[in-house]
Amino acid sequence: MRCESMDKKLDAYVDGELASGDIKLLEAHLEECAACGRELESRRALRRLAASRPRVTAPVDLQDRILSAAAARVRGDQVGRTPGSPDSRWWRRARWPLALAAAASLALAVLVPGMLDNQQPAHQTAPFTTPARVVVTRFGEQAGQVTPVKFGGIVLNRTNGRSS
Amino acid sequence: MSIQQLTDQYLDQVFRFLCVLIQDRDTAADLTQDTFLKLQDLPRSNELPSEAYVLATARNTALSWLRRRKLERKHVEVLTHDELNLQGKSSRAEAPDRVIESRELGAALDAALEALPEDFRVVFHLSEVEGLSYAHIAEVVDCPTGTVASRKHLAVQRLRAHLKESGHAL
Repeated sequence: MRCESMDKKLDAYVDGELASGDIKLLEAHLEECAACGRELESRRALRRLAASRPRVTAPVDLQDRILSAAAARVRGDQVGRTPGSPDSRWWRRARWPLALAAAASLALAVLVPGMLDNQQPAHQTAPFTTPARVVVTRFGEQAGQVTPVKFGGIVLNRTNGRSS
Repeated sequence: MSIQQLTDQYLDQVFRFLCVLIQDRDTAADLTQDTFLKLQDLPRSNELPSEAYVLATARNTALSWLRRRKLERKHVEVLTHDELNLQGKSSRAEAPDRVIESRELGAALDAALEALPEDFRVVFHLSEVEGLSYAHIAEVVDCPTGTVASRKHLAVQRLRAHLKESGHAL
C-alpha cells in the first residue's frame, strides 16, 4: 500500500471507522513506514488536543426557560392560542404592527369627523357652535352704565350684561 | 418521555452543537429552546429520541433560522471559547510553561476551528467532541457516510495546516 492512499485511511483508523480488511493493510504499512507512523501520531495528538478543550455548557437559566415555554405552550394548546403571553412569538412579532394600526385608527377617528365638519354647510354645524352673546339691558338702563347688584350678600358692580 | 427528561439528557449537547453551527451564543440559546419545543411535539413514547435524531432536529431548526434570516457566516460575530461558559478544565497540575503552551495551543485550535467551513466544523465537532460515529453524523447532517469521512479528513488537514501556520505543528 502506498503512502498517498494511507492519508485518508489514517483519520478513519483513528476514529475506529476503518473496515477490518483495511486495518490489516494499514497496520502492515505502518510497521514499515516511519513517515506514516508520524502522521498517525500527529492525528492522535490533534484528537487529544480537541478532547482536552473545555466543554461549552448551556446558560444556567436555559432549562428553566425551556420548561416554562413548554408548559405555556401546553396550556395554550388546551385553551387555544394565547397571543398575549410573553412567550408567544406570534404576539412578539405582531405587537408593533398592531399598535401602529390601533394608533392609525384612533387618528382617523379623531381627524375624519373634523374634516367632514369643515365640508358641511353651516346650518348643519349649528348644534356644535357657541351661542352668540346677547346683551340684554334691563329696562331703563343704558349701555356702559354701572349698576350695583347684590348677590348672596356681596355687592357686585354690574355693567350691562357683565359682572366686574 | 417528558420535556424535563429531554433537557436533562440533551440540553448541553444541543446548545454546544448549535454554538458550533451558528457561532452566536444568544441565538444558539433561542434555537436550543425551539429545538426542544419541536421535540415536545413528538408522539408520546416512553423512550427518549436518539442522540442523532435530537441533533438532526437542532440542525434543521438552525437551518430554517438561517434561511429565514438569510444570515451568512461572515455577518455573524465569531464566538470564541473565551466568551463561552467553560468548564471541565484539566485537574492535573501542570508547570506554568506547559500551561501557557497548552493554552496557546488550545486557543490556536479554537481559532482554526472557527476558520473552518461550516460543514467541516460540524463534522469535526460531532466526531471529536461528541464522539458520534460516522453513521450517526451522516444521520445528523443528512449526507452519505462516505461524505462524512471525506469532510472529517479535510477538516483534519485544514486544522493541521492552520496550526502549523500559527507555529503549533502537531
